[in-house]
Amino acid sequence: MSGEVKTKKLFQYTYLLLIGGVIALLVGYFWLSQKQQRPGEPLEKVTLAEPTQPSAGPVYIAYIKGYFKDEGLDVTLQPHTSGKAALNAVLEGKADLAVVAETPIMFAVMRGEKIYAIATLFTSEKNMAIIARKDRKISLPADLKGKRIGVSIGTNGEFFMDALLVMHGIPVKEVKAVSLTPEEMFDSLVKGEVDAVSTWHPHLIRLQKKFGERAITFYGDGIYTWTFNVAVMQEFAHKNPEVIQRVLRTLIKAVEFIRENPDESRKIIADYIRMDESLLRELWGIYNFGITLEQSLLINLENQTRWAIKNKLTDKTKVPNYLNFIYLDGLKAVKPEAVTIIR
Amino acid sequence: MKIRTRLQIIAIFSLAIALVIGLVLFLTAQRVNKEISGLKIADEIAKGVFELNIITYEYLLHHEERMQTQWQLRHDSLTKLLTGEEFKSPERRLILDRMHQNLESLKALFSQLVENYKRRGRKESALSRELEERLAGQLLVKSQAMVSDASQLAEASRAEVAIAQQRSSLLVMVFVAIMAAIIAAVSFMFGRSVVKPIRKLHEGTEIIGAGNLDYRVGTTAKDEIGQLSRAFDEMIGKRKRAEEEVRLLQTITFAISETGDVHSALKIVLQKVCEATGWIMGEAWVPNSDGTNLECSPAWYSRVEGLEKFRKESEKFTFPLGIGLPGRAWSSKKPVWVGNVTLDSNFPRAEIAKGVGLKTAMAIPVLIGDEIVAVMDFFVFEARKEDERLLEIISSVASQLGSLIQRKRAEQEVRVLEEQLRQSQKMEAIGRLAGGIAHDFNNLLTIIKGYSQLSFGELKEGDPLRENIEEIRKAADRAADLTRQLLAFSRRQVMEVQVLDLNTVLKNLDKMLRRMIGEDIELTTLLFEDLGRVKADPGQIEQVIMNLIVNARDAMPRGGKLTIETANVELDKEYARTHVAVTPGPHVMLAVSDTGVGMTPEIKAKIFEPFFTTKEKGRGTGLGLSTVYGIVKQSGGNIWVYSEPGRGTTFKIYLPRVDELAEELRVKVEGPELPRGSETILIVEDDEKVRKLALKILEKQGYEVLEAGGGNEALEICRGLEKPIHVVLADVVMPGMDGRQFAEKLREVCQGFKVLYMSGYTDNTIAHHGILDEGLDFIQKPLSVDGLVRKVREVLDK
Repeated sequence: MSGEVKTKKLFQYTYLLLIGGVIALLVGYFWLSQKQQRPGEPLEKVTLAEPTQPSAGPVYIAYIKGYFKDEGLDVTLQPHTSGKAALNAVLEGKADLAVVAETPIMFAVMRGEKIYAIATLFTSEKNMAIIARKDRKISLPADLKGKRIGVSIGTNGEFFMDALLVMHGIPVKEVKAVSLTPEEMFDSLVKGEVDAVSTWHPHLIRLQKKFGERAITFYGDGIYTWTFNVAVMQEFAHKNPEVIQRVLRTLIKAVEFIRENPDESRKIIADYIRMDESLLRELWGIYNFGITLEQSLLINLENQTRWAIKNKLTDKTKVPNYLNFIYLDGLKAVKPEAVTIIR
Repeated sequence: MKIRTRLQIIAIFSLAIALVIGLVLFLTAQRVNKEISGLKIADEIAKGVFELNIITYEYLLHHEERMQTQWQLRHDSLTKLLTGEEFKSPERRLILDRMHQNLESLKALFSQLVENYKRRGRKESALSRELEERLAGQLLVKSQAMVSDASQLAEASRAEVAIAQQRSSLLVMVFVAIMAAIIAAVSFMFGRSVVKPIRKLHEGTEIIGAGNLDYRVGTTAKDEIGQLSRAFDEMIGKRKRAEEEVRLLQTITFAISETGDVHSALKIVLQKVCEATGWIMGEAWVPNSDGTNLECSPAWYSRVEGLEKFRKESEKFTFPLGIGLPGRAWSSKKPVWVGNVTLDSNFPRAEIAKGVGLKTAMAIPVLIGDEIVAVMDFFVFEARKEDERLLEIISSVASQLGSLIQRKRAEQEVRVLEEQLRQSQKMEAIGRLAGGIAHDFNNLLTIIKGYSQLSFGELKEGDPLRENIEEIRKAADRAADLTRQLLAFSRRQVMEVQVLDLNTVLKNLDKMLRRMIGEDIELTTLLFEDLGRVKADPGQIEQVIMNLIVNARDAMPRGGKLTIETANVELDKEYARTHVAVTPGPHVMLAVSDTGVGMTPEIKAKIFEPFFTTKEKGRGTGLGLSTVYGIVKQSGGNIWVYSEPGRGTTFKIYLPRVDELAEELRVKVEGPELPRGSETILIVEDDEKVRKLALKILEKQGYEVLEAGGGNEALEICRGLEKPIHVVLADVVMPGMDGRQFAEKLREVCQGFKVLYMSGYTDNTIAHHGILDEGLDFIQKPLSVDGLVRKVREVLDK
């Protein structure tokens, strides 16, 4: 009888133990999954300087859609006319982050500024071209020899022109480079003051529309990839690694949104930067949005550096080690597969 | 093992298997994960080697610091990958070691490349150019070897994954097989331990339901179904015993309901119980008449021969409360079991029992409420342990018997009461008849007596007619006597009620009684001291006593004992319930007993009827006991007779006791001369002859007499009369207007007269239950000359 009771007790305990184990597992699982969400923390104030260009699209999407807030960031967008100006704001301490092309970054590094590129958010191979007037007897790139080419000296426009000329066996000395601001390009070509201009969109598309069949456009065919990147002061990155990660997460989310909702994204971007939406739609096909850190960024920066040294655009003679100016840890923590820089 | 336990074991076993399987699957998944990460590492190594090549290529182009840094970084990360713990198998370690060596070779080659560049600076030489080419070629070779090793590693991991997956599939199959086996085992177990026994149980219920209470499922299993089966069997066993009990009870009930008396009922019960239980002998004990002892009932039963001796000896025994087996059952009012009577200290018949070999005995009391009716004893030869169940069954039989006896008693009571009622109704009817006759008789006798007396008075002494008239008068007197007795019986006599002490009456009568009974009969009077008083007519009571004494004497022609007894008794409700016309309360009893011939019940039933006599012709009038009956009843009492042929007779009279003190017995003293008078008397009598006779008698005594045949005529006379009327002699019973009404009417016309009522018998007009209303004067018919003259004078002189 007592043996029976004992066995019964044993069974009861075993049951209880099993049930307890299952409950403990469930509770543990829910506790862990709950732990990942931590709402209610105060928002981190961040100022982001942007170039008012479609290439900074993910920033506008994230801002308008409130993705920054979702990540606990109170972001102020600081508009600038170019990426260079935006980077200057960071260098002057007026902003925390800047959306900027690789060339201003290269020059800043050459000047000895302690900055980091934390991610590329935009690339395009057809954002820049040389457009030439056919009436100046230009129908092939080789025809550019001896011609007057409008270019903004010291910008990637000049770098592109040099690269294109080299690629087609034309020594840079055999063309007449005419220094123009980006805004002067249109009028100069229309007036015929230059035979061609090395410029980028939207000036490029305006000229293409203006001339139509009367002009020819030479793209780089892979010799140059224009990038827009997010840059910060090195000090900021070291002090706020968490903020960097959140910014990157937000931008990744915004890029996903753009991929899934291109029409809505175009509308948001066009509205924000007050650009003709139809124009944006025309250009949309040449834009690539994606948060990455690629080996090509390094190579690009180095190529431009060598070009700058060769053309005496800088007083430095040695190519710096750009690995020291790229902040890998942020993106590695958020999206490691997006980092293809060899390490 | 219990089904519950089995199910629990199966549940735990299944859980354990599930746990083991889960664990193995988990480990397999771990293994697969590890192999997948191995695969990833192999991929990563291949990628790393490829990236080193890219950087080498860049270096060959630009010879810059960044490439060196990056090369070093990539080399370091690759080295880290190769020294990782992921690959433990010796073959893989071998590959890894080879890769490690190759990686180191790569590093050495790259370092040489860097050295070469540093040495030559920007000026290219053919030699350094050649070295650079060779180093580059060597780097490619080593890289190729590493990529190939990496793919080998990947292949090994893929093979491991395949094996692990195969193993887990096998395990899942095993699990499925085990579960299938468990399910099969459970269903088999259910079939064997649950379904089959339940089916058997179901068959059992059908068999039992069909009436076979001997069927048993008989499962030996120790599980729940086994318990259920055993409980079921036990229940059926109980049910069977209960049915047997009911059957025994029914048999006994049926048998005893057919019997008339307790003893034959007991005999049947003893026999049936012995037959049904296998006990050897049964006997019964009943309380004796005064309830002090249990005595042997004639009822007994034995299944075997040879116990007669025990029986004969037993008949000599009586058992008081608590003594012997019957006495114990009596005192405890519960069944008693004696395992061995020969060793029992409270078994007086131990020796006899030992002689015949009886051992175990039980005694079961038969009770009605708390009253013991009988005790039944049963015996067996062998020693037995107490069987509570048996005691219970026989107790219920005994209780059944008790109820039956009670019912019989109640039926008997009802019968007796009915008989008493019938008897009293008969007496009432006869009484009414006798009363009616007596009324007319009295008028006739008044005339006969009156005229014979008058005639006798007018004849001279020596006249031979005087003797004749004297005979007529005597006969008339006897007739009047009879009539009076009839009246007494019919309770129509007017009683002169007095508070009496019966002892005093008896003492006064003693001498006369002794004279009456003669010398052969011994008279004993047991007079209760402090005897209570009764209200009665002393003359009537004397007559009652004398009649009873005469009756007793006649019952003892050869002498005997005659006892007169008085006592105070309390008649309770119970007594009143069982005796017709008895009011419960304090009574005085007068009992007259003889040791005479006694009576049969048939005679007993008729003795109070008038003219019923057992005496030879001429000796009795047949009115003696009728008179007694009438007087007792008229006095508010009761009379009961107890008699058995050859055992004598007892008459018991109960008269209601009163608290008042006894009055002196009134004795009338009468003068020798008839009184005379000259007052005016009005006679109102519808019987003309009686009226004329009364007129004659009263006129002879000097009175002025007026007569009227009815109330109205009398009123007429009074209205016309100028002189006063002193006495109105009025018949109570007249057509049109009774005496009382007439007297009241007459008072409206004239006053100052007295009324003397006369009647052959009383009714409610002037008396209630024979007792005259206060202040009334009455004279009983038949009128005698003396009686009338003296009564009239008495009334006038009041």
